[in-house]
Amino acid sequence: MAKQQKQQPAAKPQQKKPAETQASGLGGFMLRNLAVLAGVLALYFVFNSLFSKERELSQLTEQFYAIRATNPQDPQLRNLYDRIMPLQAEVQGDTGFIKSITRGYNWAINDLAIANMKNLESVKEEIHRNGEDSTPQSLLQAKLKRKIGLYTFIEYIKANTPENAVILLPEGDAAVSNNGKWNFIYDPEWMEYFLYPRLCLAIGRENEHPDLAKRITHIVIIEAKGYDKLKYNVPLNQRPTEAVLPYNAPPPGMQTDSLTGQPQIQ
Amino acid sequence: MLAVGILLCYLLGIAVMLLISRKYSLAEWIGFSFLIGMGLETVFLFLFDIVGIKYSQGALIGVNLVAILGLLAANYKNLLAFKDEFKVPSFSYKDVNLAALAILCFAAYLFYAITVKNLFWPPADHDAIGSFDKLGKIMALEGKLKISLFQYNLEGAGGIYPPLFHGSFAYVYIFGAIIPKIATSLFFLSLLTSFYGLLRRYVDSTAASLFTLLLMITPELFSHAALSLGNLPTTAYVGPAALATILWLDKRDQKYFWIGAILMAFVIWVRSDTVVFTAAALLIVGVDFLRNKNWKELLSYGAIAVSPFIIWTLYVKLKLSSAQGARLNTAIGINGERLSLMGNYVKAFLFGGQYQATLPNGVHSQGIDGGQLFGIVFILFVVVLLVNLAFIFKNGVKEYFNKNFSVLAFTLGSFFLYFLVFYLIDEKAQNSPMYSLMESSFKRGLFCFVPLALFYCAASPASSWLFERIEKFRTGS
Repeated sequence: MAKQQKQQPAAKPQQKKPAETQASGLGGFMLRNLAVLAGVLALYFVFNSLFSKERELSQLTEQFYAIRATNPQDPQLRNLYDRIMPLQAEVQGDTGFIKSITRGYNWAINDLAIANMKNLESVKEEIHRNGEDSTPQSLLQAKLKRKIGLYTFIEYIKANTPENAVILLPEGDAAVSNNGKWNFIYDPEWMEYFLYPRLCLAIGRENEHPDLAKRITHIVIIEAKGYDKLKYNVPLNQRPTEAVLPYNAPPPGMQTDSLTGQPQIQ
Repeated sequence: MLAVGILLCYLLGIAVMLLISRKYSLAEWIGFSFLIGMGLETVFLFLFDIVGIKYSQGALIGVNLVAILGLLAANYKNLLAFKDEFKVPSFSYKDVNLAALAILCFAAYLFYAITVKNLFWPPADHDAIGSFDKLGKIMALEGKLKISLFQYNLEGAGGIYPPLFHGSFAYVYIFGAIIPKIATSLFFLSLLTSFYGLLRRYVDSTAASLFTLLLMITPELFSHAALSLGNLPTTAYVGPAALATILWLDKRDQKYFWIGAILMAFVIWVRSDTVVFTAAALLIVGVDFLRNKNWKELLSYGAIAVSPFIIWTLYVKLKLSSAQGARLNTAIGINGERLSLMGNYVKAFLFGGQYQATLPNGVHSQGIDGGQLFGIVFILFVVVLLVNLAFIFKNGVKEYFNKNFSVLAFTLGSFFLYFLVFYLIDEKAQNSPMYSLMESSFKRGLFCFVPLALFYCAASPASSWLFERIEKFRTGS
């Protein structure tokens, strides 16, 4: 009996507990869940508020470029510029530890993900307006033109060379490699991506592709350089600054000198 | 047809997973199935090349169907049990975790945003155009792995890399993709879901979702989710492979042994320099062997994880006939100048600092900003490591190392080897100065340590202590 009496008080709450939890548990559970959620949101809010100036700077800069694209003389530009410059100095000058280790997240979330979605919409609209999205292939070309500055010139090279061409590319000297306009035109491995099944090699790197050096059929001319590699002479007044020319013989219709470089007698 | 190709890839992965076990979480199904499926698809492409079968949709569909049906048939009895075990998922309000749900929704939105960007723009990165995307595209066109460009040395630097990454591009091109970047997005998704699934074996959904979000938005890694470079896919294999192996060693759940070994094999099927992770995996499995004396496990794991390295090395030598010059200078000895330069970069990467090398001509290099690149990841790792020292006093050294040895040994061991490989690089043979290697290759290679560092942070005693309290409060238990 003594044992039974001792067990009773312990047993009663155990029987009631599930019923109590069911009755009052849902509200309490949700409240506690909301509290944890509020904690998470508060963390995000603190993080976000750290970068309010960066966001303002980003908006003003975007506004500045949008106005300048439509009217470079707009008086609003001066006003925006005066607001951007001190803000930029302030943002760049903020090198606190917390800021420096969280800045990347702001860039990833707000610039890379969210802002990019908006930018993509405007690019899509522009492509559609220009009618460049009529086929999957034309859409791809429209995107490549926007991503790779050289793409139009690459298309020109393709249009003016047969598929079995072996093309000598310009040398990657400082003037070419430091000029973003030319992308990696001097890099045969990079150009091969676009020019395949044509084959490429570059001036100054012929020894890397000895088989191809013997089979050159065309030369890419940029900044009026590369004429000295041709097996014929093109008069100075007939030299386009950018072209793709046959290596051994001039294209039909081109007036040329002899290999001695003597001026052509008309 | 692209959807068919991707579906086959997932089904193949699922068939392999079913052969190993029936018990995975949804996140693990999604993550592992693509990683295993795509890995095997590139093995098929490799075998087709060896045998001389030209790549085509028909050939790939055929071999996939044979493989999937073969695997399912071999696993017939197991599948019947799977059918019997199937239950309609029950739902109780106690399953709701609003904080985790909010974090996962936010992560899903960010994943959507970066995927939209990724799938819109064609590859434009130098290495993708000069090598990986070119290889994938031309493999699909010519129907073989050893494309014609090899005979003119125009294949690019990635030509001698094992074929998993550019093979995945070739695979989606064969099935009609205009641009191959769907593969990048699926590798990213697999990395995130695998990480979440594996982490959930240790922590509650609030902590798992929070650390998965942190992994996802690690700035430099996140930016690669919209590029076509091989570092993110490499991380997608290294992270889950290492974590599954660690999980097997810790919990002795045999399915993670096989998943870990298979994924570790694919780690070296993505690129050869990831051999440092294979070595670290063999180290922790080897230490386990010293305790348990289980030859079978050690040999099986080692054979599976190392065989792709041997196969690919033979292929490069015999079929590609590529004479790979020695890129490492093992006779370098102690080079204080190089150690100091590398040390400065590592300090900046790990502790959120900035560093610019001063070049011989007095000009500064482009420089790096560790905080901008990796956010709080490595700082958190160091902080948690230090805080955990308190648990050594509380629980004792033995208890602490029993629970944390594998993850710490793998992370620190592979990092040491990774650092050593870069230290030994012959700058002339590599045709790149050390500062440039540190600012590009070394930086991107650090991606592989992000899931490991975050896993340790999430599952370590200090974080468990904190998140257990939050979870107790949340559930009212």
